[in-house]
Amino acid sequence: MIFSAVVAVGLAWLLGTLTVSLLWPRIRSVRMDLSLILPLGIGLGLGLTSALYFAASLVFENPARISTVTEVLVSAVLAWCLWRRPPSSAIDARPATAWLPRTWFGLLIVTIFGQVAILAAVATARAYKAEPLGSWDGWAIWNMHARFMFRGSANWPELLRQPAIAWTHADYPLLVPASVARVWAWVGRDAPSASGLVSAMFGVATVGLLIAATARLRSRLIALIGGLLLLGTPFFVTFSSNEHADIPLGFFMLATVALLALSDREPPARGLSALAGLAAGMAAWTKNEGLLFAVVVGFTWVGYEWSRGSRWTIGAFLSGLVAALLPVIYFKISLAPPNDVVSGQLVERLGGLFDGSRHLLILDALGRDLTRFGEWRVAPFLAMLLPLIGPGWQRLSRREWLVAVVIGLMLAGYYGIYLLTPWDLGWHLSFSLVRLLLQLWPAVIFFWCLAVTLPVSPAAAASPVDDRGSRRAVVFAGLLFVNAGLAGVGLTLLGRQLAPNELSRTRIDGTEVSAIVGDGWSARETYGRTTWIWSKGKSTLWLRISGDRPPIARTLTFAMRSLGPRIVTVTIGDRIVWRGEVGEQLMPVETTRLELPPGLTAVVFSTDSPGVLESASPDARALTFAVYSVSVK
Amino acid sequence: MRFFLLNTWRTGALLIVVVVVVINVFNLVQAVPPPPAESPWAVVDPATRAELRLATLRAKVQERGLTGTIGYLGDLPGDRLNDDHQAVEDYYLTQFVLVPLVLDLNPSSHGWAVANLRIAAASARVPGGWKIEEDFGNGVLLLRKKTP
Repeated sequence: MIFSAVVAVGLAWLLGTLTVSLLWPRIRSVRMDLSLILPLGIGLGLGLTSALYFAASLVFENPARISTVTEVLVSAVLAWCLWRRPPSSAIDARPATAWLPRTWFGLLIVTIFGQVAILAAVATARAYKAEPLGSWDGWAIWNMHARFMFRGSANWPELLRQPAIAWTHADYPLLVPASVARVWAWVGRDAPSASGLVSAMFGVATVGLLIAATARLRSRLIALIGGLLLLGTPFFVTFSSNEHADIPLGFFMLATVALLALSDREPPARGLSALAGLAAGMAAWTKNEGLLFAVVVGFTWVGYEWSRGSRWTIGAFLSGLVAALLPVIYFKISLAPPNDVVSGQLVERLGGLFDGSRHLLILDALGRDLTRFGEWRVAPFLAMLLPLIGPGWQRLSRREWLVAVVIGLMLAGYYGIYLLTPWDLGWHLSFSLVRLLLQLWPAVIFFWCLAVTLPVSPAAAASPVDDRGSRRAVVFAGLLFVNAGLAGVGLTLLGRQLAPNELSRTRIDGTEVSAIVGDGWSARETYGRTTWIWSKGKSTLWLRISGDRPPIARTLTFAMRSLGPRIVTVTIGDRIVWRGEVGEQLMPVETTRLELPPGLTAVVFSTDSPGVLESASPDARALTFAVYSVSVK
Repeated sequence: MRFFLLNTWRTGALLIVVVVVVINVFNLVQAVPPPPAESPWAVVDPATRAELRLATLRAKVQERGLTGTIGYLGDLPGDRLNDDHQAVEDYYLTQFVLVPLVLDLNPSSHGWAVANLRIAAASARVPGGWKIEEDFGNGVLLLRKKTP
């Protein structure tokens, strides 16, 4: 199953990479820019194939077949065009280890980045496993629409726009649902892992693009620090696999502004402008906020180029934009119901623009959510300000300043939409503002990276790494060794982390033994290394033995206490394995010679008297007895 | 000297950024635990739970060839659904599971309906003129309008 999903995403990636390569400036070998082309190829490929699948799904009962044939044919034609192009005179003469930093400070940053990337990947995978179908909007909107496309045959638009389910926002653009439905069609069923894969690919592409674009415009060091900032945003990491459209939208916003900034360095940049137009149009094909982005970036870019008299560049940008907007325009005009925010009595709502209380509410929410939208333990803004303080500011080109202008105009646009929203403003802000800020966050980090002035000769690297080839190889091997070792330690520690419903997990003679919370317990509590759980009366603890070895005698140990004296009985099946009086003092218990077969065994705890309220609070729990530090030997 | 101080400041400032990132990533890894260990009482997310709860119902409506729009009955009447978050979630999740069927909160204009009841008894929620075609247990029902 996962193989089909990988092939489907791989084909989209190939198509996107070929498209980007064909439009890429020919001032050097495409190979030299693969770090930029590949992440762009992921997003643009998924965008292009989603549009093909969408078009096919309107006509054919089995759209996967025709869209796949089209994708393969288009890829073949693009590959042929690339192959037929005269070779670039530029030669990639960099040694294989050219990306290695030349300073100890740089090596430190590379090592930290490697470890952070591994931890972020684990967190993304865990977030997916916790909610394989996505959180609320993931299943109620994006995966729901994908299911209508996948399960609903050619009349899915008719079904989706039924007034009975207007709450699923059938007017939302379809890049993500169509991409997911396309991969499901390859897999043959609506597998959650396929939608998780599409979602996570946009997260990976965003990090890759941020690093590659910054490295091209500034340096690899600040590019890695920018990547670290993005991976150090917990909301970004966990949301990447959460099957929403905000991470893809953030990718297309970043792609657009990065391509615009890059086009400053790459004359003649008509290909980059066309790609920027495509990315902006795909932002509109991803979410309704992307329509605002397409307008904002369109006016900003066209205005700037118009002032410079670059008509060809404007033409290239608009060509890409219009091409990507075609499916959006058809969808919005022919299939989608009116959007609930902009339709209706818009004139009456204009009064909101002059309502001071609405302004205050928005500013208050903005102040609150700006510092917390990333779900950070320590918000990075103050730290991000430090490198910008002091003399010797980085000189930004006018195109690079446009990145800030676009971000500012987007914030202003969101502000205006909140002023005019027909929904309850407090509710609307609390549900959406953090996600809007997350969409802009990669572009904000990109601009920060452009603005930061790097140490010319970092003080931490007073003795730079020896630059001879053999030494570089030694440094490379050392870096690999250190990173592999650190990753091994990190992954081992992560593997020992208890699941939310586990009380203990040990490995005995190659067999894993876990104590798992069953029914009849309050939430698990932890203080330092001690873990305990209060019973509500009769409660079950599950012991899970991995593997298929015959039953071995085990010893179950734990400690118990109660708010008052009571008799507690512990049984496995019909056998009483322990019975005794439990009081306020912690009492150690050891039950020996338990024959535990592989799989799950229920250990049932019961008591002779009802629970005692823990306090006078109305939310107080009725506590019976607590079980501490469960372990199996 | 000024050059040295400036470079030290910039390097130190970037290191502070990196330290903040590392703190956030360690916190993230602790905040996102591994998935729940498998057991009969493992906590699963609402959407997965709904998929499991309504799997048989979905198979049956497919088997019967039901298409288009049918009715939906939850613990609360349609006009009071928004009073209770759980009732809204149940309705949305039932719709999610049963796509491409469309579930209408007003079942009277349809010949078929599904019920997803957590608290309310079937007798209290099944309107007159409807019969239980199939009972899948745990408050999950397939209903059909009685022919006059």
